Amino acid sequence: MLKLMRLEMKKYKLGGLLKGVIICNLAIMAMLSMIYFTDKSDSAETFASYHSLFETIGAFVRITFIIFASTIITRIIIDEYKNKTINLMFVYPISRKRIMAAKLTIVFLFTLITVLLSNVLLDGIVMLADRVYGFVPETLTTDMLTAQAFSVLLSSVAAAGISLIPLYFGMRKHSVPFTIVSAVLIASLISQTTNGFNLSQIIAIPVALCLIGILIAYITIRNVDTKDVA
Amino acid sequence: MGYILKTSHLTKTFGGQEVVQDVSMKIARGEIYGFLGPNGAGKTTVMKMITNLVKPTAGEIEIFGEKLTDKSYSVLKRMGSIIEYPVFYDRLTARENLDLHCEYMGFYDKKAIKDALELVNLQNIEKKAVKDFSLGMKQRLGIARAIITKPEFLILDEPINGLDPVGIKELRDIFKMLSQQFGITLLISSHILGEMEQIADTIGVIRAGRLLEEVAMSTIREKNTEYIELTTNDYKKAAFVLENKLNIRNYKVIDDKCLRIYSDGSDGVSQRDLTKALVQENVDIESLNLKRLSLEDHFLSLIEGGEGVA
Repeated sequence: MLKLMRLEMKKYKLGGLLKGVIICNLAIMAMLSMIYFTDKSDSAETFASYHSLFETIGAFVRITFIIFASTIITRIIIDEYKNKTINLMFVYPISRKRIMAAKLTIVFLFTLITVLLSNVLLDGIVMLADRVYGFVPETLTTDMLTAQAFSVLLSSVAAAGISLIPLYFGMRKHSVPFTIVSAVLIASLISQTTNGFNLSQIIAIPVALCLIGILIAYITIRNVDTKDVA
Repeated sequence: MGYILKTSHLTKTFGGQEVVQDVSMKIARGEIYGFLGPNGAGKTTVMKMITNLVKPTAGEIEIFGEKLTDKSYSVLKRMGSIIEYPVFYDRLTARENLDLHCEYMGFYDKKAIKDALELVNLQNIEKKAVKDFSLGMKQRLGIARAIITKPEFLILDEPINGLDPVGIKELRDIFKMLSQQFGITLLISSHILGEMEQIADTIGVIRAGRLLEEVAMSTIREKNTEYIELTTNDYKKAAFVLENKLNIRNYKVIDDKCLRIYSDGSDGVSQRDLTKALVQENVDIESLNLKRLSLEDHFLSLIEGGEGVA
């Protein structure tokens, strides 16, 4: 399994994605600084507490990497079907299930790790910056930090599961636009904030979506043996 | 001599339409099997079923003596294939593609890659991305990839597509060499008859999803293969002479100007007698040629016969 994953990474030169991840983080940072330094009326709300600050960062990171993950799905799964290279993969003496599982594990782990690390990184930077500028009218307590650590962990796992949902839409017609558009819709749906409320605050919703994502992955893997490859 | 592949009553339905119907074919170990049929006859679908890419609606495939199921992965290690057209990871170089292939096949003899490339006459291209290859080069690279691991059974779908005449000749030699030196069994599909005729040991003819005939080339060669083609401007009179003066019934009117007189070995009429009789009866002869029935004619007659029934 690890070997299959390594081969997939090699095949698609997924190491090159690191650059993309870094750029995304820089972009999120730029957005945050814009809110932080320029738009005082909005930032009043965002920077009223550490909690809402972390929420904002979490939402940015989640949206970004769920969409990012969907581009990986198109690259390593949808395009294989479209370019018929999947025919090649499936005449190797390797179980189709394992091939598919390796690909989906890459997507899951990618989202998990990038969401986790980006949250840690950006939260850290904002906390440091706030020491200098002191916008947030609150003192940071250890309790708050523990709660945030737990929430980051949970939301990373949730995001990783959710990032698999676009697979369902993409696999229907092996369509790249379908995959990415569905990712954009799902990501914005769960992260949109209206009146300080968003769907991912009710913990059941991200957890349920995560499970749906995993279920979709499971069904895709289960069916791959019996399906014709056109 | 055992069979490497046996299919029985293989049928595949796509959206209510039977693309392959009741195909029972047998490929003997070590032979070159030519799979012949017009475009859209179902050749590729059969090949996809053999490589387990497409699952049969009905019927069975037995390969290396084992029944093929959804979970037959180990047999794939003993096969090499190009299905439809050679596909590659375009952005990678030729070398990277072949390396990947070896990794997935669990094959670690790196020298074999070089040998295979040499065999198909592809050199100094290892560092080039496959997307910059011509169709002919891709075809060669695909064959190289399929033979690196020296599989026992090689399945090649239209391998000579996109090659120039020199390339075709080279490939023909390669196929013969693979068969003779390495004892590899080859299943080669094509719609180009002349090619099949030159390399195949057995020919399977498929049309509209049905296997019309499966016959050894040696049998076709023995069968009734010579005929005299007569071109005249009065085919009715010529036919009359044939039947009444020379007592020949085994002939066929091709069109208004052309007749074919078949000879079955001993009782055939000689060209001289034929000319003499026709001249005596005042039939104009434009030309008179002794011809051999090629596979092409055999094949065409099969297909025309099929259409007559349909």
